[in-house]
Amino acid sequence: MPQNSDKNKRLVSLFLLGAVFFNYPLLFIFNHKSYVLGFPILYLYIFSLWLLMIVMMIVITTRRNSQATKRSEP
Amino acid sequence: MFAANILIPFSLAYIGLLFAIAYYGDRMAKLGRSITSNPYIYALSMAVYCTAWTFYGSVGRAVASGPSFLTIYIGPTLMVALGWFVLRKIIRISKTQHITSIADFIASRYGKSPTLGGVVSIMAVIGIIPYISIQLKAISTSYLLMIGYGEPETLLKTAILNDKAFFIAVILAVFSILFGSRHLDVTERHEGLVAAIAFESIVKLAAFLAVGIFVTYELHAGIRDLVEHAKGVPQLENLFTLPSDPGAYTNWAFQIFVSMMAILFLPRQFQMAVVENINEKHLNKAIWLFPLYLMAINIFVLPIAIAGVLHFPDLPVNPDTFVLKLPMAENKTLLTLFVFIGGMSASTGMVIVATIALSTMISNYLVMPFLLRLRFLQLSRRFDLSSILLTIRWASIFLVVLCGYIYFRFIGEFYPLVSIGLISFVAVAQFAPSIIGGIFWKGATRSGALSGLVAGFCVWIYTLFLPHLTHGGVLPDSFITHGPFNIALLKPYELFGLTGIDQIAHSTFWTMLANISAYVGVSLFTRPTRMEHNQAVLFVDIFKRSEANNESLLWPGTASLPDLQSLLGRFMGKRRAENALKRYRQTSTTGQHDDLMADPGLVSHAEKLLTGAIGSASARIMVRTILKEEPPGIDEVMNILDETRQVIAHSHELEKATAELKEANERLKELDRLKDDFISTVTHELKTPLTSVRSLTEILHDHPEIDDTRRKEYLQIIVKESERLTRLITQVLNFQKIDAGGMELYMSRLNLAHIIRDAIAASQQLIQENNITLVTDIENIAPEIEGDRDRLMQVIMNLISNAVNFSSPENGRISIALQVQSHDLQVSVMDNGIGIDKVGHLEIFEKFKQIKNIGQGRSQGTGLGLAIAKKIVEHHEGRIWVESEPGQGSTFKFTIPYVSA
Repeated sequence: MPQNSDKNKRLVSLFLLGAVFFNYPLLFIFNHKSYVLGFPILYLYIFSLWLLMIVMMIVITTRRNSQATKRSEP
Repeated sequence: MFAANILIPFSLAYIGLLFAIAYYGDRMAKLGRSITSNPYIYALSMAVYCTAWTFYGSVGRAVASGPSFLTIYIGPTLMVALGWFVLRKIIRISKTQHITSIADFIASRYGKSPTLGGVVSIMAVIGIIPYISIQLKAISTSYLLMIGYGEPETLLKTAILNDKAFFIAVILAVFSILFGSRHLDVTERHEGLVAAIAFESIVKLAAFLAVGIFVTYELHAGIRDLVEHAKGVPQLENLFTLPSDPGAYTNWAFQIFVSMMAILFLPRQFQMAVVENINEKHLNKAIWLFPLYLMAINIFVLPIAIAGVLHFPDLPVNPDTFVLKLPMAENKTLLTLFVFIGGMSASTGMVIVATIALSTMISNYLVMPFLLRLRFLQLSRRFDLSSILLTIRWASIFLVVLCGYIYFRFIGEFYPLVSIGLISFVAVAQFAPSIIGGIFWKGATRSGALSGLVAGFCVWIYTLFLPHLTHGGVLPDSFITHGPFNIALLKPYELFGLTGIDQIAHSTFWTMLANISAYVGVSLFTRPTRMEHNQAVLFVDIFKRSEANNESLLWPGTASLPDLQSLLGRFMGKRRAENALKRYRQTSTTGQHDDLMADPGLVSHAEKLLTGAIGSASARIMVRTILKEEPPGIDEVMNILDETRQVIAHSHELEKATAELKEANERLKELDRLKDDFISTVTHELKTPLTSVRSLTEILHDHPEIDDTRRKEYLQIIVKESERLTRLITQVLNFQKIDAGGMELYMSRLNLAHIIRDAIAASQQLIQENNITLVTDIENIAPEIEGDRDRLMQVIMNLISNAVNFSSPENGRISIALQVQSHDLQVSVMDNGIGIDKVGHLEIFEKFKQIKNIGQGRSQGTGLGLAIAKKIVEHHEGRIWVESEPGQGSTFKFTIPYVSA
């Protein structure tokens, strides 16, 4: 299952990256009372990161399909 | 304010709607038109994760401790990214093994151990009942709020029968029975249930978003406006940041960790994500749909928290109730009702699925094994156990709901929603080492899993559950404040003096330490039994095995068919059993079925069917009772086979490579030998003329008196022999060139007939010298070919000289012919010599090969002539071969394709 294992690696890497970005010490950088565009910076950071992760998941899971169809073409 | 006589029918109507949806879902599934078989429903059913704790509790937690409420949803988001890796494996294993609960999964992995399943079931029940209780609490509290009862303190004064939460609990139990265990199903899949849960997930999200939008955009001018207002409000001081002490980040990380475990191992999540999964591929979309859902339901937590605090600054309002109180305070009747229903959806969904999951464990691992052991011998063989089984299921559903209710009445009162939930999270996190270790590590043993689970669970009891009960007055407060028997080191929240992190992080650390080290340590010091090893291989290598190969490696034995049928019938009902067996016979292609004996394939299939109904451990026990024999020799062998299968595969590859190497080596050796032969042949051939040249010149030198005629004769021989030498050397050089691939052909359009004539003319002297009759049969009107004149001439002359050499010495006869064929011209040179045997037909075209023992000794060749001829013909895209039999003469033939006009 070469396609699956590609996806596997990408998702596991995403998990590892996420685990780092959602924790200390990166969290520490944003953990203060300031506001960006009127939003508290910590919430803004967490929610943007969250959204980014979901987008990455969409990219990773749909990418496999497009590759699969490409492969079956020739 | 709502009148009770409106609210109660309204709630009942909503639950009625759930019944209808579940009924519809079941019906459609039965008709084969599943409405739940798509990734969206799958993702929504996973959202049963969001309970009343999310719906009401998130806001409360945000007010109390800032952003840390988000960890509960960040953990699962991270975990689904791993989902493809871990969850998909669990799903695949559970499907092939007919696993229906976490207890079943763990028991099955470690050799179908009933003990292990029992321990897991007990842990799950104790761990989850507090969680169920907070759902009931949420229903009860929200109801009391709606009818204007005020704060929950008054609740204790209502009698049980007057408590609506009790009725709701009973109704939920009935729902669970109807749609979760109406009958025993081998797959334990309940599409109607899934449909209802997915619907509830939509309702709770919609309700939460509705109240969020209302609060943010109707009461206030957006999120930024709310944030602006929050600045400077003392109660909201801690809302936007985590505490700055280092422990806060540790707490944060541990909460993410336990939520990661919870999303996989909470019994209700396992039920929804694994057992009710219809198609593995649904994971693909669910991987991002589910986190999206989690994010959506969290967006408005912060605005609602701020708005709540701003609206009720002085009143002692529990922040857990802000979601409901805000629209109520603004007199938004419909919105309030919607929110109430949303909260109910969140609670009821959790209660229903959790009870079903727990009841499966209780009946399969706590009650059934007990009954089977105690009463099996007395149970008559015709006794229908399926009704007993169902009764046990139903009773355990009621029992679980009842326990949840009792817990809520006596202990749950004193807690905000979230803290109880996290206690349950830590409890189910105890399953993680055994499950995750079990699917990746074959060396893990039953004893290891049991030690790990028990150790982790005991530490959990001590560091979370007992102190939790203490708050409910079961134990004296000094247990927490001073430790048991005043031993400060054993204070449950500060075990061995560990402080600086919260209770959840504290407990998670100690439980995981105990659990993992016992699990790994004991596993390393014990050996798995055959059964454990078999299951370990099936679990760990699930993706390496083909579908057909996914059967147990152990020989399940044979049984009599009527025995097997009656056994299945007793648990599944007679007709279902007959149908299941009939289906197997229709689809199975292996083995022949007679009417009396069930082959091993059928026995193991039956065991799987039973596993779906009563769990793997009991199924194993039951099947063993009817087995004819248990051949220990064979499973031993099978085991060894399995272990060595990989080794064998590897050694096969090695053998192949070795054989190839050997072959290559042989060829090299052969070539080397041939080269040696060739050199000795060539040197021998060179030596003969050289010797005669030398001896003749020596004679001429030493005897100047030799007469002229003699001298002339000798000189003639010297000239002839030198010519022969030159010819030999040219040929060797020639061949060397061709062999190195450096043959250059000067192609032009040629008439092959002319070339043959020229070749004959050039060989005329040779033919006449040997008194040979030459017959030619050459077609003059042959089409032209494309070729190198000199090379082709060389080929023909070589063939003629061979024919001359080998033709019969007395009345030698050679015939040369040229024929036009459909695509090419064929030249044949026939002699009437000694012929060549079959083996020689191919060999003579190889370099350095000569037909030895020619007798007359007329062999003048180098063993290269034919090899060169072959190369030349092949470069002309032709073919050369010989037709001959010993004693019958031989015919050399070659073809050259002609140029189509």
